[in-house]
Amino acid sequence: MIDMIDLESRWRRYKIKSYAPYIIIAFSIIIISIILIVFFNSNDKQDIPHKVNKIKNNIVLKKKIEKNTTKPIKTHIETVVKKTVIKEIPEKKIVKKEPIRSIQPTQKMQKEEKLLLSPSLNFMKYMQSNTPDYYEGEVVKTEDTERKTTQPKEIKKNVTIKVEKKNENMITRNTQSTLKDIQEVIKRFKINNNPALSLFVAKKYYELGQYNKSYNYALITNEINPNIEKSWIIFAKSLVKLNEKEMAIKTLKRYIQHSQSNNAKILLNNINSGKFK
Amino acid sequence: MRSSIYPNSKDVFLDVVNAKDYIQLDRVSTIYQSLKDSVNKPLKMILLYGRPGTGKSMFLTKLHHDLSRSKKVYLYGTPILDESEFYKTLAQDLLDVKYMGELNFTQFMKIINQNLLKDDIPIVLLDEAQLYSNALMEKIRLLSDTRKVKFVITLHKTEKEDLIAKEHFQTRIWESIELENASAAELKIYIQKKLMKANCFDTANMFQTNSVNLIYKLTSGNYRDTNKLLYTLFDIYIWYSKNNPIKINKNTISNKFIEMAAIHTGLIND
Repeated sequence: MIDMIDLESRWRRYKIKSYAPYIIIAFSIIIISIILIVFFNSNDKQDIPHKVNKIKNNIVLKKKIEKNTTKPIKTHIETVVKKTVIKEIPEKKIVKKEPIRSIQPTQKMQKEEKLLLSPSLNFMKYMQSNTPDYYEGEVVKTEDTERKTTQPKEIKKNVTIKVEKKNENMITRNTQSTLKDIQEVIKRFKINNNPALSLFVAKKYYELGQYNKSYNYALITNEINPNIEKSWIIFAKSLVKLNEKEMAIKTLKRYIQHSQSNNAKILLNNINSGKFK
Repeated sequence: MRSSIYPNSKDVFLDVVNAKDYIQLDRVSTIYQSLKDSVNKPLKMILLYGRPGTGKSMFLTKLHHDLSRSKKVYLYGTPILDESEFYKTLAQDLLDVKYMGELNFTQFMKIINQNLLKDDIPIVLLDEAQLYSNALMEKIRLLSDTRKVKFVITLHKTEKEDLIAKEHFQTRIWESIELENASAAELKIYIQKKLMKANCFDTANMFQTNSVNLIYKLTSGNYRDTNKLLYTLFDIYIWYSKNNPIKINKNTISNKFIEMAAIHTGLIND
């Protein structure tokens, strides 16, 4: 007599076993196809859409910058850049303008800003590559040599030029030594990211009258440590020098609200009264 | 449909070798006819070989059944392994002489030569000849050389191949016929004819091509395996007709039941 219940359970086991290879094959095909789809999609994303997104982001950022910047600032910065013979890239503009719009000394605001701000240190690379040209005083020299070659016969003019040249050489030698110091400090800063170093650089650039650079380094310092009073002051001063007086006042007011800094208050008064221009 | 048809159908596939159960299929009939023709030829020995379950025993039984009316035919379905017993049994059947005590090959040959005539050659049918020892097989060959006894032996294919390798069989005049498994179409005819022969027309009609193909897949057309499978299949049908008749489709044989029968008979390893 056949035990039919046992036989039925054995038959069920057999059917499961017989279908198992097909199920495994189908399952593995599905998994492989999913992997392939994901793989190809990721490749595509890396290729075209990623580039498109980048371009879109750039356009959006540019639009934002255009909104937040005034024409005089642009021209001023451009003139400063031309004078110092340092080629500023558009990225630098992004770094400059975004924080101006959203700078707040509070921690909350900083977190929000971190999303927008990506303090790229690329400008330092450019600066590094460009500063040697500056040390050599190529602009001055070339102008002089040009003058020499084009006007070799005018002796009187040559004499006066030579005197000027001596004075200029004196200035450039001084600036050369400070710039070399700054270079070294920048190198160290790149290694350890110490805000004291970036503040030093900001100060030095401010002293040299390179306000866009002092602004940038003050900004970086504020990013690293938002509680350094001197950094905020250099930052505000640089803004004033870059004809961003209103932005400087706004920034200082926010900082004073946050820190009750006396020095910041004094600077604010000076700016408002016109003592500091 | 009455439930009693399943027990009847089940009995049809009982593994019993009976000449009445012989099913005529085209290819099998041709082979059988050639075997019958070979028997009438002046051959000393005829070899019938094939894999187990291909119908060798049925062929011998049928041959014995058909020839016994006109000739002296002796069928030995079970091998007689003892040599003396083998000679004594042959002497008793062929010469109707009962010997007491031991009978050796020399004595038996002498008796055969003295008593048997060449006009009326008896035919000895030896089934499962692979079970005989080589020495006895050699003596059977010598007996056939006297042309006073004709042997039809059946062998499993592998044993036949071994046997052929031996020189003494290679040089003898003899005929060999190979039996093979049924094809799917032959199997369908075999099943249906077998059922119809037992008046199980309803169940015979239930065997559609799909069901037969599955049976063929499971049994490879082997008659013995098919009989075994169908016997169990109808056992399952009997159980379901009693306990769960809703599950029975009366138009066709259930593949599930075929597979269950195959699991039970060991044709499928679950």
